[in-house]
Amino acid sequence: MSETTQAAQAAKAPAAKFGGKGLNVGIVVAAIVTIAGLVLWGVQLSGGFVQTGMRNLDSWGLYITMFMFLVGLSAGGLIISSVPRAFGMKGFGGISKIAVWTSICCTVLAIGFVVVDLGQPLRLWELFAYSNLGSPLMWDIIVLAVYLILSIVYLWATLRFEGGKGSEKALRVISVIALVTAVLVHSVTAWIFGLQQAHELWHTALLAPWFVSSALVCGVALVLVVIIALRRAGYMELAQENVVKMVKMLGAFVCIDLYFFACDLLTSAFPGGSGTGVVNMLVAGPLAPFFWVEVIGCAITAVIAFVPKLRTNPLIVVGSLLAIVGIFCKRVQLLVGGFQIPNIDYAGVMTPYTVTDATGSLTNAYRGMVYWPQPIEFSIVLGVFGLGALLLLLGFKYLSLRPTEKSH
Amino acid sequence: MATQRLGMIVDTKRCVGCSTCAMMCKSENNEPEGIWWNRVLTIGGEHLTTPSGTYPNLTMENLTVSCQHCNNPACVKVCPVGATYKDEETGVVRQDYDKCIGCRMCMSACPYTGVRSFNWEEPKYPIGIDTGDADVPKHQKHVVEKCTMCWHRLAKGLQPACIEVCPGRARHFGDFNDPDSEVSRLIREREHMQLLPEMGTNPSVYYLV
Amino acid sequence: MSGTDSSQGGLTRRSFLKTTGAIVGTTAVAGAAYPTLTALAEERQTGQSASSEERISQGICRPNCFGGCRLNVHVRDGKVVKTSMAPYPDEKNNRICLRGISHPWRIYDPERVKYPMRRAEGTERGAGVWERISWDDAINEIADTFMRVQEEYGPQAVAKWSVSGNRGMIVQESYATLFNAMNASSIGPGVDMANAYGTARVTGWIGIWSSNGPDDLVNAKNIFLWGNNLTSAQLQEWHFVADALEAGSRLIVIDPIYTQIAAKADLWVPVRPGSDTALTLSMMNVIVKEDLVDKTFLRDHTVAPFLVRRDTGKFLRMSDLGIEPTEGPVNSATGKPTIVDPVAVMVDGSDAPVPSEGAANPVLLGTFTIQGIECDTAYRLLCDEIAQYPPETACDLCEVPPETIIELAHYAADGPVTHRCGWGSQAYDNGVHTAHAGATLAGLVGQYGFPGASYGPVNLGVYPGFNTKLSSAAGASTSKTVSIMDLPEVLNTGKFLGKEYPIKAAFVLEGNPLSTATNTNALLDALPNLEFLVTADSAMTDTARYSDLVLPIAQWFECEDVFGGRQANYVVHNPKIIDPLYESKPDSEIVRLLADKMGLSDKVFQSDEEWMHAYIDTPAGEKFGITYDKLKEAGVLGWHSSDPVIRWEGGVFTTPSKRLEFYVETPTLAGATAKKLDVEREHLPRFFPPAEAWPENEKYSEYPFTLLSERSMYMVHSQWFGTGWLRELDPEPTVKINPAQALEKGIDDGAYVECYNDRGRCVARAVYSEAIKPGTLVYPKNWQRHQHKAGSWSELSSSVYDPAAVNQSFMDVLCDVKVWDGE
Repeated sequence: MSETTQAAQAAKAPAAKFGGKGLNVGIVVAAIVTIAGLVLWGVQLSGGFVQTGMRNLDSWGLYITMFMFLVGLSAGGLIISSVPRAFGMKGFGGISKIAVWTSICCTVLAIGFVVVDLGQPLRLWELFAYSNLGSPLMWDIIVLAVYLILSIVYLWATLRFEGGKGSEKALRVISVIALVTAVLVHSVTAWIFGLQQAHELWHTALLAPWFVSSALVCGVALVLVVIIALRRAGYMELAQENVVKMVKMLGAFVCIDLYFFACDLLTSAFPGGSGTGVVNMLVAGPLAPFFWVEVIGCAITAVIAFVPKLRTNPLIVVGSLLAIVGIFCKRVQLLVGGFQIPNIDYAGVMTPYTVTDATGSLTNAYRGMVYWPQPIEFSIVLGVFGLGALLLLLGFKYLSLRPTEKSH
Repeated sequence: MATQRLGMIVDTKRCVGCSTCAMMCKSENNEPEGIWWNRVLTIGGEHLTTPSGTYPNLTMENLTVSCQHCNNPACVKVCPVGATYKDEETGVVRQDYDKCIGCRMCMSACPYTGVRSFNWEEPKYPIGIDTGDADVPKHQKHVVEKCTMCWHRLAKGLQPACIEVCPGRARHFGDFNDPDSEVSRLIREREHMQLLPEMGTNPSVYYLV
Repeated sequence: MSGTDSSQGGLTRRSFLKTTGAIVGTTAVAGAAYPTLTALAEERQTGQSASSEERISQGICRPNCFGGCRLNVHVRDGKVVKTSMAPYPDEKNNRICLRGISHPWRIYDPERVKYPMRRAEGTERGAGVWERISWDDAINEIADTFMRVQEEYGPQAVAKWSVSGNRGMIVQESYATLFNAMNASSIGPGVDMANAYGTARVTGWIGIWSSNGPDDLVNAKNIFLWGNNLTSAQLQEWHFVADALEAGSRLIVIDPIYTQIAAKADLWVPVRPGSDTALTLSMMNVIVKEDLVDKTFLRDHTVAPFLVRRDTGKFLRMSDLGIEPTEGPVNSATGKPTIVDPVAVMVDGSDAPVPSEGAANPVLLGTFTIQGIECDTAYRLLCDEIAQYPPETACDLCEVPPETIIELAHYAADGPVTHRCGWGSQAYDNGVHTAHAGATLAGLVGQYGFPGASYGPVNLGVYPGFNTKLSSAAGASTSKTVSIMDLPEVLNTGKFLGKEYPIKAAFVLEGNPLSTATNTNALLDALPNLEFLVTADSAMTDTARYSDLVLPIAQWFECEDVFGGRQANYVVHNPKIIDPLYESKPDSEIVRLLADKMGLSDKVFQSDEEWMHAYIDTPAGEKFGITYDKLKEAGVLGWHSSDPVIRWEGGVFTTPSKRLEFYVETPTLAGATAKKLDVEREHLPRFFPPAEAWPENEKYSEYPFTLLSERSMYMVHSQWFGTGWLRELDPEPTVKINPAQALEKGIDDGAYVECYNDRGRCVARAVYSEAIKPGTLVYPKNWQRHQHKAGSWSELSSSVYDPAAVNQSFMDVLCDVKVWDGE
């Protein structure tokens, strides 16, 4: 994860000097990466999407995968930070501002990924002028916008509250709304996929709750990685008990997520009909590497979370990263898997626009992963992450996100 | 006002997969290089015009597939800006290139794999001329397009271009809402199917089998 | 995709169920789909309407595909933006195909020949280095060279080398006029004539390729297609077959390949390539054995009762028995009375032979000694021949199970029966006999001369009203036609038919023989003997690329022409619709320029219009009401009623005896050829193995695959080879192979493979297809050499031919296949 790398680099500076030269270097590097990304985005738009790996039969790719993934990270982060406040519980040691800021950055990234995926970004204004309120994508855009604004308001209110202004009650109200929105945002994102009868892998009622559980897994994992890193870097103090609390939660969420997966696989496979194809594709087909990395990675995370002896900081980071990677693999499975099983797979004309690998027969194209990204997609993804890192670091530099005694 | 449900019938018993309809579609609509709104698919082996089975116990059929102009189109529901929409008067599912933001939501929502295509780059015309009808809208980079049911021809009182050129005389066009139309008669009289009926889209393209 | 080895095994079945699971009963849908709405049916019409700024003219698509589709040519801003279907006066003949629609691409093909070009000085032929020259230079160089060569080597030393790329009459006839005036040689294309000659020697000649009209197919109870992938090669006929199927006809397809039409058939009979004759003889064996023959037809309409002399093989004539011939009516052609010398037959209950005409109840099966002359009835000889092929024996030859042969025989006897022999079965050394046997089979069961009963490849409607003597009138040609199979030897030895016959310069028109003809390497080896090779074409074909000079010709809509009908009995006019592109010129103008330069301008017509009048305004045309002026106005004029053409009505044939001559009294060569005809073999339909593609051939152990070609839907012969729209559907040369055999050979689907034999090689992409009979490979024909990774298909085929047909044996080819090593 580039932003964590950046953060880690920045964090190498001694505690006293946090925010000093290291952070500035990080900011500059992130800015350069962002600008490079912008230039490449221009290249993608002028030279055409043909430079990506996306084609008519696999019309979405890495950008939408990253979109799903980052909405999850973002929602997870916000839920973690707002739940204690919303329910008046004991928090996790004042990490909520960092968690909210992280999730704001992730939201911006998620929106960024949708934008770079658009063929006609200059027509974005039409979303507001000609809104089709029946479209799940429209719902998502609305919810994402509301969510972003709410996150910012929540962060602002928290900062104000910690600065002695505003009431705790108001903050609590905002946190409840933010929580609901966070759950909603990920559900709606799930519905972009889950309401499409065209893709067997996506079309399940389980998708929304499952997206929420996945969001919790990677959101918590991300917050864990960030706070452990920041603590190491001397940016903040945090009692280990709070970390352990969160690790236990992570374990629980991972189990819930795996449970949902198991439910889904069983439901697909049991009738022995077309769903068997879906299960085969995941377990033993082209997407199997992603499936097994997710399942095994998440299982290891759960073990680390539940075996007290293993809850050492390095292992917690490893477990968290495994959970994040696992959920990323989940996203890849979902996105590519949705296109991997065409409804109509008969032989027909193959042009360079048909499918990523249009050199042989259609069967051949589906033999491996039907889609894989091209260098420009990786580069633009990096650029978008550069933007995220930039925001994150700027936040660390200019916002007072360190825990205070009033923090949750 | 009473509405039409314009649609097509393809008689698979008469279709030999010659791609003439696809070629007419391509020329009439000035489809750029690499774009085929209407395609012949072979129900058989892994390549066009190859059978399934083991020699000499073989079967092979053809299916021409383009936008199914569904009565309940999945694409229309998901388009965030209404760039793809159903024409109320005719039931034709239309696509507004000027409005399309290129999000490809409709491509993903459409169950009929491959009937929608995206212009992944500036449309290419190696022969340097615009072919087909003058009233066909210009193709645009980075927007989604598909069979328009030859909207420009419908507007002039003509059938879609693919219908009359079929060498097998396998294609029919008409109004399924008019019980006296040829297409209505054909589906009354002949065994037929729609593609992927379990999707609930109720296509206005029927296949006689 | 069949996806048996796909990682998501079972997918296909799933999709198939999904798509076909929707078959709904009529009532269910009728109930659901019809709200009772009425009176809104705004009927939309077929056809074309010109948008503003658009002009629509009618032209004709005229490659040698038999289609003859009338096209609307849509012109906007001076450019052909669309070609669409223009109707014929009767709807049943309306037609177009994907190639006809692709004309805009052909016309504006960036690779089109734009200017006269000369091979650059000091470069090899085929090196691809060209210099642009002016028309003046081009015409001067051609005229000068032709005149010099004729001066030096004799008139025959210049050859007109044409195939069949443009069926516009002015093109063919203009060149014919010029080259006749020059007394030049011709290179005979030798294409696809075995079924024509094989049929015609039995039924008589009535123009090339005849049968009942396609609209008569619907009257047939059983339709046999022999080696005929009609759905690709004669697509315009398919809808008639489809109508017949809907009307209940049974379709039987005999083909080693599972073609599109085999997929539509009630019965597909996979036969060993080159063995159709054995199968046909065996069907006759069954028919005779089961006494399914039509004896009345045999007696009255065939030579079955004719007595054949054992000593000469000729019919026993009454003059042989001492009865002097008499004079008959005057022959209009010769101006002399015809000689009447009837063939003798025996009649039941009499020892004395009688003249065949009017003989009641002649003996069909018998052997007699008459005045010391041993004779058999022709039918006896036929029966002896077919007796050698009981189904059990034939099965070993043609790989069709005996019970299937019996079934086929029953269908063939269950009339009305229409046989369409295609061009697949005749593309072997033994092809004449395939058609000879087929034509005999139909006669044995009386399937001629009434609706639904027919044997033949196709009914090629050739308009009889044109003045076809115009071109021959230009000069009495003493030069000969040399078949393309003989050409290498003639070029190498300078001799033909035992005499000096140097050919030193050639002009290639409406053809691409270095791609479409067999055994290209033999030709290429011999061509250095040719001092000068000119090609007139609009595309850089294999032949153009190998020429010394290339002339850009006007595309079909860039010049006026007239078309004499192809599978529709119409004459069609094609006006000049747009100006010739770049520097291209119409062929007729090129002819005029050359004639002018060579001092032959008085031999050719000075304008197209003049020629049109002379060619079209004939007494015969008058009878059909067809004149140039009328044609120009109408665009299309018919010369036959709209009823189906029925050939041989009343069982009257155009043979000398007016009967079906399954016994050919005097077999003849099909053209000038150095080869000798084995007359003995040619009297009756006989099976003999193909010259090359047969297991008895010693080469078979080395080259175990029979290499078959197919006409794909994506080209017409080699035309449209570079048309982008078609190349998207069919991007590169392929060879289809049975997957099991490919696996044995270690060939992956999609791999580049090299097919090779002693004559040459060709590299193409392997396509797994279960349609392919193990032991065969099938390639779509006529990709150009530069489109292959290496070699070309025509390198592999041989020059062998049967003098009875002088026909290229396109499929009589053995080869082996291996993964291409990239060399």
